[in-house]
Amino acid sequence: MKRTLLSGGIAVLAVTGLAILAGLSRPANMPVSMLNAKHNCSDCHLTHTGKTPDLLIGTNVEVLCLSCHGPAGSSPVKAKNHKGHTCVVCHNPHDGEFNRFGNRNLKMMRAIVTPKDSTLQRPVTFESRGTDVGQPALHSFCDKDGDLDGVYDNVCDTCHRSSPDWHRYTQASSHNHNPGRTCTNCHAHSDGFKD
Amino acid sequence: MAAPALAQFGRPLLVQRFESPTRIAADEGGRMFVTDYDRKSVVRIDPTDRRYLSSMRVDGKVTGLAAHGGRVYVGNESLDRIDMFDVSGTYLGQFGGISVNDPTEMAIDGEHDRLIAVDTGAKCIRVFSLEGSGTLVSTISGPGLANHLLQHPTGLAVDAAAQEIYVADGGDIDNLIEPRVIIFGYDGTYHGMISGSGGTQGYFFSKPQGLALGESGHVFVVDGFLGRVAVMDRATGQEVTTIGEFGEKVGQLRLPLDVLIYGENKDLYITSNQTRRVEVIAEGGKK
Repeated sequence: MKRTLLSGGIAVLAVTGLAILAGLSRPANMPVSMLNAKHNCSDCHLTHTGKTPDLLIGTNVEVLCLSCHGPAGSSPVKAKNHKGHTCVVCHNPHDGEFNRFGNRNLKMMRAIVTPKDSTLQRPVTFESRGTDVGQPALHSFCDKDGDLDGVYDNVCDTCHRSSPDWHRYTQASSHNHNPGRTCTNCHAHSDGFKD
Repeated sequence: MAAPALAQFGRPLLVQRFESPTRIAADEGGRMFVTDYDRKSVVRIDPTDRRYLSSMRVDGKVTGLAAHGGRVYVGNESLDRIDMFDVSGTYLGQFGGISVNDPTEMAIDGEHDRLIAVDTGAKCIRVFSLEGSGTLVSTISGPGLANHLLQHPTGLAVDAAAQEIYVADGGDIDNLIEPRVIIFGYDGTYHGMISGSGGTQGYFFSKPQGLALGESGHVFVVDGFLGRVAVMDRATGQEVTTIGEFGEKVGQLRLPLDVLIYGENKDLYITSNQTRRVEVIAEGGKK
């Protein structure tokens, strides 16, 4: 039985690796990579005694994240969820996903985000942290459609784009609220991106 | 074994008062305080009738908390320092004279004139003299891969009689160092460890946070991830029982962060961060 499982695991890894190398699409529930650089599998999963079908140690993904990144957590990187969106709405805990340009998103960002209470599937392209930290404005938090393809897909403006429903970035559809800058300098993730 | 039922503390008043309850502490006079991380404040509550009494504003996000001698000591995460207030909320200045990189938790031993703080950012323990505005006496442990060195320290408790410091440490799975509670003497010597690994499930606790010391060598370990308190026996390293269960309903715990044994009845107070409550289990500290 163990040999079967091991063989199966190796096969999955091999197929995943080949698929990524070949630039093929992958199943939505399969991690881009099996291991994020700063975490190990056993940080979150238990092989035989996990409490969920995903074999998580605990019972809730968001609490798992917050147990290090929340108040009094041991990580210096603090985060609070944004208007009721849980962590995994935006983040893939296994790694940044490949965006529509074929590049890996920063900060474990998903390639597609579906906002809470919505069926919209918003593309996300997040390859730079913006001018305030000496990186290009293009494909950052909000680049004012810097690639001129008509798609607002940066990590913030994918939702906070021209529609007045989405508020703030283009409240007057002006697209002039500090495009290209590092949004989190003022709107910190640790405050839930508070206004 | 079914988890013991918990009683909610002060609903609905305190639900409105807390946004992000983090640490809880009481001074020798019975005054009880809770830090509210997101509201940047310390809330004083009346443990007798479970009422909100007052709050003090802090210039930064607050984590660690200790109270003694008419003073309240607050870990200021935003400014990397320990702030001092009197019990009415008047700011008295910075304590300790040094930068403390994320003072996540503190404890006081008034008998030996010591305030002991977790420096989570520097991965060490800072021992201060309480006198005046505080003086750094020593630094214990520090980062490193040796098993007895701190990896990701969070919570803290002090046994004044034995002059020992209990530190909750998340370990470092990448280097096969499990979550644990490490015990140091005041002089920094390593006295022992309670491992988070073991038992039928393979673990006793996963993300240890606040600590409290009970009777008969029992150590109460809050587990933020599992949503419960593991009661561990120091002598055997085994789990005596668990208290609480994960969930969002009244009496359940979602990201619990601290535990306090209070009063003659040894009631157990637990901050449940994501449900924005303090839960109380009558005589829970006797377990």
